[in-house]
Amino acid sequence: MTAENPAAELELRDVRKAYNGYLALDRCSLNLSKGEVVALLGPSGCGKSTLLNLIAGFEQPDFGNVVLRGQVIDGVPPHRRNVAMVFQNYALFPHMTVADNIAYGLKARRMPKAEWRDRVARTIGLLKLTGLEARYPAQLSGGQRQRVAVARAIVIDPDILLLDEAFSALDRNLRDQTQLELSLLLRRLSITTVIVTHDQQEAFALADRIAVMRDGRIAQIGRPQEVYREPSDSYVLRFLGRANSLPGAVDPHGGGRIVRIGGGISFPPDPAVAPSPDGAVWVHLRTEDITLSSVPTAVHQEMPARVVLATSLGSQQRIVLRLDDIQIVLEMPSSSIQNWDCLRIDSEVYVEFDPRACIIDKRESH
Amino acid sequence: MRAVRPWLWLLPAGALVVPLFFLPVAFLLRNSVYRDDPMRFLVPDFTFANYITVLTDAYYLKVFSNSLGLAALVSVLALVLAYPYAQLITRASERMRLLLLWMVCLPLYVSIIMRVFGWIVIIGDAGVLNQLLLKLGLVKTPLHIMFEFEGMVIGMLHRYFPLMVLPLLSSLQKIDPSVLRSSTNLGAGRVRTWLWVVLPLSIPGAVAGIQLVFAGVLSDYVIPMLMGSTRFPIIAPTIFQEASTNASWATAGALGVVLLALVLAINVVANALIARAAPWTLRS
Repeated sequence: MTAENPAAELELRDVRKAYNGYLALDRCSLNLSKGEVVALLGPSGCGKSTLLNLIAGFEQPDFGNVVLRGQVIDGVPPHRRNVAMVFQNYALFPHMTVADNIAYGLKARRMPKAEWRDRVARTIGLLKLTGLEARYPAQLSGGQRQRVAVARAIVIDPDILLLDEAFSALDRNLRDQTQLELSLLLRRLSITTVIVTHDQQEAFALADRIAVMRDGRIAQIGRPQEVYREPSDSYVLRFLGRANSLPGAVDPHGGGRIVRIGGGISFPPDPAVAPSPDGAVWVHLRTEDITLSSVPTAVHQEMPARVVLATSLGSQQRIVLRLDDIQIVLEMPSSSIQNWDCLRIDSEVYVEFDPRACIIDKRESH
Repeated sequence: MRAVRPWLWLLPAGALVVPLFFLPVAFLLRNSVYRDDPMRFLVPDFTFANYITVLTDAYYLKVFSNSLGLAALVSVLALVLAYPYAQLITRASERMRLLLLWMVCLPLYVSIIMRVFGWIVIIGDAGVLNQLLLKLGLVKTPLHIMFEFEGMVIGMLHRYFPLMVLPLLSSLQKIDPSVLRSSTNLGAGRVRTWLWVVLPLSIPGAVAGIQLVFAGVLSDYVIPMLMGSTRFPIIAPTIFQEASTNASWATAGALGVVLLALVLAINVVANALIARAAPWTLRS
C-alpha cells in the first residue's frame, strides 16, 4: 500500500479553505489508496479538522477538489456521501438504544429490515457490544460509547472512515487497547481511513502514513518511521517525540563547518550550515539521540556538563544536564545504563551524539 | 460551628406559602363539603352533594368539556406555532436570538388588562383588522372576533405562548450540534434528521410546555371575562359567578376542587407521557 497507487480511493487536489480571511487550509494535496490508514497530525488550529470536514462534506473547499474514486464530490451534500465519521465526543443519539444507534445509517439508506438487523447484529458482535443492545448511551462507559460510535460508522460500509480525535476522551490504558483493536479491525475490513489527531502516539499506533500539518499545510507526509527518523524540518522533529532546542553558534572561522554549543560542545554540522552574519543557530536534537560518557567524546571535549536531575520514567531514564546556562535533556533506556555512578547529581559528564541527527535552524539573536 | 437547624431555611418561603396558598386551599376544601343554604349562606356540613351536582349537572359538564377542549386546542396551536419559532431562535445569530427571545417574553412584562385593550384595538368590530378587511372589500360586515370564542383563543394564545416557547427552546438548545451532524453524516437528510432526532429529543420540552399552557388555559379567568363570550362558558368565570352572583360558595368550592384535581391529573398524565415517549430521560 503506497502513495504511488494510481487508483486513488480518495484524493484531495490542492484544496484551500479560508474563514473570514483566515486561511485554515492552504493548498493541501493528499492521496489515499484503498484500505490505507492516514493520520493527519498537528496542533490545534493547523487545519486538520477542516480537512476532515471537507471530506465529510460539512464544508466546501474554496479552491481545489475532493475526489472520491475518481468522482469529484464537491457540492455533494454530506448525507449523500458514503463517508462515515466518528466524532470526538462520539455524538451518539441519546434517545436511541445501542442497537438503534448502530442501525441509524442503514435505516437512513432505506435498507430492508431483515437485512439491517443482520448487519447490526454482526457489527455488534464485531465490536464486542453483545448484551448492550438495549442500553441508552447514558448507560454506557466511555469505552463502550466509543465502540458504539465506531460500530455506527463502519456498519454502513463507508467508502471512507473519518476519526476525529476519537480516542482523546479515553484514559491511557483503555486508549492503547482500543487503538490496537481498531487498528486490527481496520486492516481486517480494509477500510480506507483518515484519522485526525494531535496525539503522535495515536498516529503511530494506527496509521500506514502520517501527514504532519502546520498552519494549513502538510509539512511532511510519509510512513511513520520515515517521518520520525527523517523529519523534513525542525517543526516535524519537535512535534514528533521529545527534542532539545539548544542555542548554538557557527564558528566564524570555520566557514560554516563547525557549530558550538555552550563552552564545551563543537561538531561539524551535516549538512554544512550557510554562514550568516552573526552565526546564531538553534540545534534541534531528540532527547533519545544523545548518550553520555564519563570521558570526553568526539563532539564534547572541553568543559564537562553537570547532571542536575535524573528521573526514572519506567523503561526510560530521563537525565537533565547543565552546560554553562544551557539545559540539555536526554532519555535513554534504563536497561542500557551500565555506569549509574555518572548519573548522580553534580557528576561531570560528556555528551555524545551523531551530528547527522541534528537539525539546525537560524536563530534570531537579540 | 453549630449546624443551623435545616428546617429554619423554610421559614421565609413558608411564611408566604402557608397563609397565602395552603390556607385558602384548605378553606376551598372545607367549603366544598359544606352546604349552600339560600337563607344562611354557607352551612357547616360534611356532604358530597356539591360534587355530585357539579359532576352530573349538564351545565357544569358542558363547562368542563368546554374548558378541556379549549385548553387542548390552545395547547396544540401554541405547540404548532412554537416549534418553528423556537427552531428559528436556535439557528439565529446572537443578536437576533436575543431580539426574538425578548419579543416572546415582552407580553410577560405588560399587564394583562393592557394587552386585552390592545387586542380590542386590533380585532374589535371597529378595530384595525376589520377596517382593513372592509376597505379591501374582503368582508361586507365586520368579523366578530372580539368577545367571541375566537377572541378568547387569540387572547389565550398570546398569554401562554411564552410558556410553550421557553421550555421547548431549552429542550432544542440542549441538542448537541454534533448529534445533528452525525445524523447527516450517516445519511439522513434535513427532514429525516428533524423527524428522527430533533423531534424526539424535544419531547420533554414540548410536554413541559403543554403542561404549563394546558393548566394555564384551564384555570384562566381574565381572558374569558375580557375577551370571551358567555355563550362559551369555562371553569374559572363559572366559579366566580357561583361564588359572587349566586352566593353558592359550596358549589364554587366543589368546582374549584375539581379544577385542582384536573390540573393535577394533567401533570400525572404528562409525566406518564414523558416516561413512554422519552424513556431515555429517566435512566442514567
